[in-house]
Amino acid sequence: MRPLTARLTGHGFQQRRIGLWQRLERVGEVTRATDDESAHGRRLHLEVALPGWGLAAEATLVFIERYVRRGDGWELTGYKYDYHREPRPSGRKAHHWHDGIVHAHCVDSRWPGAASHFRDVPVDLLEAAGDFEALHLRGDIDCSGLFPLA
Amino acid sequence: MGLLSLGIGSHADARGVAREVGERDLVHLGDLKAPLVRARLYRARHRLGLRPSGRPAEAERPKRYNVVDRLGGQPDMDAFERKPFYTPTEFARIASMSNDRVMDLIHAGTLHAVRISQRIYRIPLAAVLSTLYPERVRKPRFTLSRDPEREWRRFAEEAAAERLPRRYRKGA
Repeated sequence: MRPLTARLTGHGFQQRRIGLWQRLERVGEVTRATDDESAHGRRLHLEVALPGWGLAAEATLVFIERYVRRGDGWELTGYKYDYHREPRPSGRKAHHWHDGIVHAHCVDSRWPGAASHFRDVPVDLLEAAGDFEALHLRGDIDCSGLFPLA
Repeated sequence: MGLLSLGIGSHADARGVAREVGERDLVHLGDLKAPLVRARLYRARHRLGLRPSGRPAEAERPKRYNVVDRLGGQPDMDAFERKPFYTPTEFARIASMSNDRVMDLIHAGTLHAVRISQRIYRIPLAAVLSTLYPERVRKPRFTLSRDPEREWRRFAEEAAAERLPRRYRKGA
């Protein structure tokens, strides 16, 4: 299963990264925003502290997207969207797409241990951010209802 | 034949028309078909600087506006307690507006809020600050990593360290 592989033009990519920043600034405090272009492709990395803005971080959101050049545009070829409860390790939820596999990670905050792999559906960065925000508000990370990636 | 007999509106409309276009025109309008009456009314209102609704243009409420403009001044940043999330009622108190107005802003997407059940919302601190103090919202600023090549490799290394189940590993 392949996630959203919308091809972005150079301008579309600029618009996307600005839009992401503006949206994430309403979720928490953006503490890192890098956009690296190398011979392999392009890598977007955003980190958000929750709640930030002078309050101690309760959680950190990490969003990494990898793009490769296709024609005159950029195509998404992998992502890692992570929610870490602070101080680590005290729970984690993640949506990943790498090695051609879309999957999720979930570490129950009551029994922190090794991350397990679960089946997942392709998600957009902002969808993942919404999921993490709701999770943060609910409190404990509960992994029930997820199906193992067997 | 009067305007009402043409079925173009209420008594209030007819009185409004009389004020707008004058009695002589009104007499003349009475001889016209309804669509033509409406066209004449539209032109007359436009000439007088009135909106189609009959209200002066400047009285129309702007469809998009800044929340802070409606507050008549920003609340002091230190005047409210900092906490991770606020209820709509708490935000209404901070911003000196009604609860209904806050819910309108949330539903319109102007104010970011997390929906935790059908009727319960929570507003993150970051959303409160960016809404009440838009001048403090930072402009997007992306930087370069010190070693982009290493960062690129790290993605794959971390992925390998995750150890996907055997059947999903590359080459398995």
